[in-house]
Amino acid sequence: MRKNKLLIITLFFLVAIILMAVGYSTFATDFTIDGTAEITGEWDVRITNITATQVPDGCDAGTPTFTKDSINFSAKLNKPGDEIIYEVTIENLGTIDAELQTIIFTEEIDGIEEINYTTSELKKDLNVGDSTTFYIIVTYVKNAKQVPDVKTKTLTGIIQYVQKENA
Amino acid sequence: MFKKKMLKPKSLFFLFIIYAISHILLNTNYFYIHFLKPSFWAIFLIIFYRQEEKPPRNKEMNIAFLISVLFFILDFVSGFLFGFQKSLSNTSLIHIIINGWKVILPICGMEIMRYKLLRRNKNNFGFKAFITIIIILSEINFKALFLSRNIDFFYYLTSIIIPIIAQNILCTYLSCHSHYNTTIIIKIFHELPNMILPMIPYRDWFMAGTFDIIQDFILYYVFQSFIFRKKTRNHVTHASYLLTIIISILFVSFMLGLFSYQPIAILSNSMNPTFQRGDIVIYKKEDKIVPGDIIVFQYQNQIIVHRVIYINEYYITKGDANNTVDYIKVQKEDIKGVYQFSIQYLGYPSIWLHEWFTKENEFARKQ
Repeated sequence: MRKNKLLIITLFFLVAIILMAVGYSTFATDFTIDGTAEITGEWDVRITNITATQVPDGCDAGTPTFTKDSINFSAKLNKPGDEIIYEVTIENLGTIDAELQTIIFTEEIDGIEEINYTTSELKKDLNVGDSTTFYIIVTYVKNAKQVPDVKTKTLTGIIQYVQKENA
Repeated sequence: MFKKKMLKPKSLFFLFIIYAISHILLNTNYFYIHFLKPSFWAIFLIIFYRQEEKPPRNKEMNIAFLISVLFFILDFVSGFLFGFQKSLSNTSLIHIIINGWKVILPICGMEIMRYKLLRRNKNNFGFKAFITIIIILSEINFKALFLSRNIDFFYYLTSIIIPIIAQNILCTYLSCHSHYNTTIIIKIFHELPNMILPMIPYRDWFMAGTFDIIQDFILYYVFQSFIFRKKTRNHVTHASYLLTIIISILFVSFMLGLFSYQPIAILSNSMNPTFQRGDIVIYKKEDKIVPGDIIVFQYQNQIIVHRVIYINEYYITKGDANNTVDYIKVQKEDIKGVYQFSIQYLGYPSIWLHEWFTKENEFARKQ
């Protein structure tokens, strides 16, 4: 009887402590789930391909590479008038419709004048499952009168799609 | 002759039931709390002291006094660890007297009543349980049942009702083995800090609840093992008592974050697959944080456990399963610690409790 009494009192004590501890742990993390986890849609607009579609004789388009948000290519042009065209594909693989917000291409400020970059327009709306292609044309200026000492020129671009209004 | 008849066991029991019913019906009434209840016990005490001899100073009373003073000091010293807050009561002399009237008189009266009722029924477990339950009911503020949120009811249950139950089980036990002065001392010392100290140690509901029941369990252990059962005590019982007390103190300290490591229950899947809803995460207080660390930080009244992806003047964080970074600019002082490891499924009781917390109190809603 005495042992039972001791057991009941000890159990009451331990259960009370554990109940409070469970409650305390819950209280401490109250509403943690609401942090930023409410985004149920998936955002996934990415570059999915880059290929050289036009490479004149004597030129080398290299092996262009891409990640989901950057591309890298190295074009070797032979003579004035040569043009290499790169085709870049962007796809919306997520579940949220997107629209183009920013497109800026900047050539290297002190770059040589003999190389020119031209970019095509981009599709404004990129709904779920859509894809768009745009072109980067690298040109050895036709009327160039000399072969430059520095033969490279960097192109930097920012293409920014954002969530479409009401998407 | 007349006086002796006044406090016969049957009259006492009748008085006790009348008081308990009155309390249950009137416990939120201002006039009852400030006048009727203390007056009832004042009259009871006058009658009692006119017909009874004063209790002798006994060993149990001295021990209760010593332990209570020790708890009182420890309680106050804990304020240097957790901070102090203003006392809930006005501590001017006149208010101490008013509080004495409202609190001390009912304590003395009730403990004498308990002792007198149980003295002849020490071995009747059912009667002891009945008296204890009625006293517990007569100490509860039933207004708490009408709190609109379940979480408020939980706070009241854990910080008030459970400690009242624990203290009354202890007092019933002591009343059966000792004199009423032992339980009066224990109960008065429990109320004393709020009555006489202008500043009291800070307590949230968890501290209030756990500290009180640990104190009651220690008192029970001391009286049970060293005072009343000296001849029959054995090492196994001692070891189990001590182990229970030590583990409880360590566990409560761990929950409160007194050690370097502290646990937290995870209620969302925002960090999936590193850890997920229902896991317990153990984090450590650390000053040096680098990108890639998973930090536990405070944001308003929430605790968030997310990964640091970038540090400038703020800590930019993101849940591994989220698509965007958090919009919160976390500052150094908001960071509670760095994730160390997680334990699967252990946090589910917290989730169930959280789901119950977020519901309205059905009982209150029906009223």
